Amino acid sequence: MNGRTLSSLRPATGALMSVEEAGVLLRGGGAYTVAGEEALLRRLPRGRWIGGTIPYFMGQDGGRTTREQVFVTALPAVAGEAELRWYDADTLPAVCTDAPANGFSLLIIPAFSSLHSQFAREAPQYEDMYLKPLLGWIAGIHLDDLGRHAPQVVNGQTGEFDGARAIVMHVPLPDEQYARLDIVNLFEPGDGDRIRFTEAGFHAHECLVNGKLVNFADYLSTLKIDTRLPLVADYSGAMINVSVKGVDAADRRVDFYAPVFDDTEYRVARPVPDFQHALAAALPADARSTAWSCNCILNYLYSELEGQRTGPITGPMTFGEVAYQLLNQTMVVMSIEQA
Amino acid sequence: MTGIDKALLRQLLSITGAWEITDYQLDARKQRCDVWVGPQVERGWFGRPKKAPPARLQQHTWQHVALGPIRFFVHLSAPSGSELARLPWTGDNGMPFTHALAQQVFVMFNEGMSLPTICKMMGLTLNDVWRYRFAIDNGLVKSQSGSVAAAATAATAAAATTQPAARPAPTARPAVAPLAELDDDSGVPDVADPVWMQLVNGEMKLDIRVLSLKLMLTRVRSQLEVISDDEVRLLKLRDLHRYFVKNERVLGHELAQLKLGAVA
Repeated sequence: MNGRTLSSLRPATGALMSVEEAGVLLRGGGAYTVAGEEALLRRLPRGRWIGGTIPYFMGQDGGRTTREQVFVTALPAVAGEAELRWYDADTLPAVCTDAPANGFSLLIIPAFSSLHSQFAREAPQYEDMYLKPLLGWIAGIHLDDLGRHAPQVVNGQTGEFDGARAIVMHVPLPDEQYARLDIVNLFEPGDGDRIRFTEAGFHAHECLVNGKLVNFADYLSTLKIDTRLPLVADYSGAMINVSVKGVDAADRRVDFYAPVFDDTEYRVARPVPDFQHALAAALPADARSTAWSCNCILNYLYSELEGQRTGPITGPMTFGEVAYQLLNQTMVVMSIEQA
Repeated sequence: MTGIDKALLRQLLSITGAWEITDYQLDARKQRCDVWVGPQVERGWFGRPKKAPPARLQQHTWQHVALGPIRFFVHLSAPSGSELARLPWTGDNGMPFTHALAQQVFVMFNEGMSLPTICKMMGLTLNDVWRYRFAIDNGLVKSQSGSVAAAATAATAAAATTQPAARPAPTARPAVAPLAELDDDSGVPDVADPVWMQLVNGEMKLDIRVLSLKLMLTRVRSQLEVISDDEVRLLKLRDLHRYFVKNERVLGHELAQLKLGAVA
């Protein structure tokens, strides 16, 4: 069975498969992203692919947690050779300037690394940010392994793994094509209070609620707010979430999965009933032409997507999504359009 | 070590006022010269310094304008609260460059040059140029305009004869679009069109379908809220214009609205 036949049977956004099947694909040419447990990724052959650890997926048969299979997405045929490159704290700010003039860049960053934090805070300021499509995800681990293993990313060309640097694949496209990057976010700002933070960062003590200074942990507790609902900010019509990681009652501190910014107004999201069907309904009409996608592990967990389908789009369920900047509880979709 | 006359060094680096070069170290192999500067000491008989009450000194280090292939680093020990008056050979607190060097880098930003290109041409590290860019984008420092620009220009003029020919001379002129962005066939309004400011300040509302534009516009609006420096504000509008030029073929819906606004 050759790679072309395999990929033609599966969703364009990729599929779960055995290591052996993945090996056939990766040896068959083309460019790929791969997600899976570290031990499985280490068994894959060298090739033009990048990968990251994660055991949660929206597979072709629905949501699934597995340590037995890897998720492989074949990237669109490229105009030139896709370039694989490592980035560290010094070089990541140039990731967009390094990107091809026409194409897209796929980025995978290991969760909990300082680079994860740096990217979350600074990416909107990177040079050429928003000028060229930058997408990707944050590699994670099985929640049972927290504290025992660290997320890893891998350069499939060299077989090198890293828990501190980011791996990027810069993919050029022919002139007659371009990449369109979008998000599907079911969360909208609720009708509640307007919240602004006094400092940018991954945690907050104080915030301004309708202009009045309060402790944010006390605020969430007093109003019994469901912290599975993200904070949502309106970025000129794009709804951008920040998810709550936890509330430290003793320190009266709230931790987030992405940074809050001090120049942005947030509201707690309106609840989304029947997330699974709402997501399927919110997908773009041309969802089947989507070429690459990922979604958030919090959507997977909070909305109990295991065993459920979310329309025709598949992908890893990650510790953070990248559509230009770091996102939470959001599906990222990229399609290739004809100019 | 190669010897340099301190008075000549002071002249070359345009160090003026009540400051003196206390020491320097030239590493010809690394093409790097570190220069230590402190407050001028009052001297008595035979050039011996008069005793002065010990002052609490603040330490600063900035990269200064290069002379030929030699990169200069100024290490300043200044009494706390010293008024440096934006001297071109000094820099902002926590910033990597002197005002004179920052002026050159800012001109390159205005020319639409990429950070890696600036680093390559100027022999700067990406990290330092990024820090400076981040600071001006967030209104933490101002561009080197007005009197400082003039002073910086004077300072860099001294070095101009020994610098690489490719390096553009710093000027204080307003932002002008590079030739590539002035294509008459372009559907994007000219960078000088008031429609850009109307878009940024919310006077013009667009129905936006493209994610990157929503994010880009939010960033520019947020930056302009904290940037008071006119040159930096212009730079931000140029960034927005460059975004439209780069993404013209995906912005048909938005450009149609923008052009209506431009005509009106």
